[in-house]
Amino acid sequence: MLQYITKRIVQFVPVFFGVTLALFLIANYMPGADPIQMRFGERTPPPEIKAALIKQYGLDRPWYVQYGKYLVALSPVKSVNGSLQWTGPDLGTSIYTGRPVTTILAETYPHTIRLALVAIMIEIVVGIGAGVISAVKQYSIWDVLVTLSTSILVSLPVFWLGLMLQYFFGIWLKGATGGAFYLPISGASSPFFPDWVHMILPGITLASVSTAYAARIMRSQLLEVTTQDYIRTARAKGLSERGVLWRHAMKNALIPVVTFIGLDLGAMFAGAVLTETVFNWPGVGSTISRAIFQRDFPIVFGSVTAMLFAVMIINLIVDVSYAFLDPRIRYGGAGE
Amino acid sequence: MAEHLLEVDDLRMHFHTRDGVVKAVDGVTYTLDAGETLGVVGESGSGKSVHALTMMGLVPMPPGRIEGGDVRFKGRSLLALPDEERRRIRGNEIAMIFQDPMTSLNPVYRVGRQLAEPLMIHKGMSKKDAWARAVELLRLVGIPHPESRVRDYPHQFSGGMRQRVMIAMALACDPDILIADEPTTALDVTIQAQIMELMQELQQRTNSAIIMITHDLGVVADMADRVLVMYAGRPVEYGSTDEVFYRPKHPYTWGLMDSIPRHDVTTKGELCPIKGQPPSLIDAPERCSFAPRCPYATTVCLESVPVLRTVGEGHLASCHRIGEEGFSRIELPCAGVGA
Repeated sequence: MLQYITKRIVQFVPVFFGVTLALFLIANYMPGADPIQMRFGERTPPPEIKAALIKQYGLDRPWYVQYGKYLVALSPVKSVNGSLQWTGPDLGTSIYTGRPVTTILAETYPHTIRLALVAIMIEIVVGIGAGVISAVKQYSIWDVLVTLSTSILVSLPVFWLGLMLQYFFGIWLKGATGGAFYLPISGASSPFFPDWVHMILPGITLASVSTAYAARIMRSQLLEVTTQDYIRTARAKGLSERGVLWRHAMKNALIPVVTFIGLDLGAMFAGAVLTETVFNWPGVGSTISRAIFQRDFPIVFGSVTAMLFAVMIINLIVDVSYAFLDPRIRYGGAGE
Repeated sequence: MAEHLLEVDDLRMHFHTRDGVVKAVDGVTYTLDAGETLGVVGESGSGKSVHALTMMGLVPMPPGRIEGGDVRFKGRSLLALPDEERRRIRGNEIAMIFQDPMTSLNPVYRVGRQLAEPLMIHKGMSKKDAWARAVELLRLVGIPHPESRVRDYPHQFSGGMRQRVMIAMALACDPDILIADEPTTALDVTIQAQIMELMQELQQRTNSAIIMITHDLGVVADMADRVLVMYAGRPVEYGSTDEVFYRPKHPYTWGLMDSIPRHDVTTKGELCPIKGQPPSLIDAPERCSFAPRCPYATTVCLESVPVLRTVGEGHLASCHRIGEEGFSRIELPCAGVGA
């Protein structure tokens, strides 16, 4: 197992360099990219100030020098006055706001994680629940409902669903109830609602497509597993139908569902750009989309780096949790 | 009439599909006593497995439907029992092992847990006691180092070893009847003999009755006390093993015997398979279902379904022509393979 984890971490090295290198190249050749000008908006900055800023951010150097400096700054252990010290990774400074990127990430990432966890909870409870119901009651009205609604959900654009939810629960409902009942449609906190209420609509929006997929995978897996020989064996042993379903079918059927939800959690930790933007959620997704428009490359680089690590860690956890679900997978261990 | 352990009486299981009614099992009758072995032989699709699954209550209904007949176990009608009571018999008093040991064990649970399960369900054993018994069971079926193997997963066992585990699981609750549905078909020939020996040995120890479903006549000759030959869902011949093997009466049984490779008879090494394919069971016409492949068939065979009649001491066969003057097994020119 330890061997497997080490192997996965080593595999991460080329991924890291590939992604960051591509990012630097794109930033370098991006047309109309003048990060310094963005900071001054419509005004024209005095040339000497602009030159000083360009020099300060190292934008006068070739991209590979910038890349090298980024890598050196990223190292959490640096040489200070000739001795190696733990300084933590340095992701640079935002050009637009002048604040350290690590500080910005420390503010935004918790919001992203909070939203991701809510969405994953919805996905697990609603997705798996709906999938199980529609498989157990195959061809019933519930099955038809689940199949129909998941088909609709997977084909809805996330941002459109978000806008519709905002309109219905935030605006229409407010009007219809005379302002007595409605849901917040923007931001992560306000004086009018507890914080958790703010997560309802973005949480549902973020979870929607994945929940539908999770339900479909759960349904098809459960139907598939219940035709297996070992299910017949379980029945032949005298297990009740409930015992057959929960003890023998579920664990097998869950393996692909856990994979999907795990990968999805990884994706959500990389920020939900669309959902966060629609709901003005102060997470890393909306931050990165704003930074791209502002050509604030340090934030883009820093956020992507953080996402890379987050996704890698989540994926590793999912892979390791596999071995507990499926004993046939024993990474690096002696098998048959 | 003395009560038998198991009485199968004109059992009929039909499947109602979109294409028509499949009469998978159509009038199977036999009895079984403790310690006895019944061999059920027939080609694929002859209904031999379905009849066993019907007794176990493992046929999904629908599409399956019991169209008649009864299965009495210790005098009680199994088919009339409520689900809950049938469940208490399954795996407890009547156990079953299946054809493919590679897929019949749940891959995600330890073997010990799967062995302990029937004991915990039916005998109310604690988890600890059931696991201890699981070790004993593995030892009983000849698995080396049962104390450590009990904690292994199915994929860590070979095919033969898995079938031993399946047998151990079926025997966990000391069943009165063990149904073995082609238990060696998926195994190597050398392993097949071991598994058969094991089953015989365990039968002597526990005095349970065995229903051995197979298409291997050699196995039947070896193990069975009585033989039921099935064709297209119907029994065509039934009797003691000696009667059926030494004095077979039905042309289908003759055909089966001719298609066994034998090394004690010199027929230039040729095999004589039965020509043609088993018929489709969908909306089968009312005639002898073997007639289209039968070299002895006459017009009488196409007129009605033949019924079983006594042809010897406890020996039944269903052929219209039995009793006809001059009707006997003849040396047929062997068509050979690929004819």
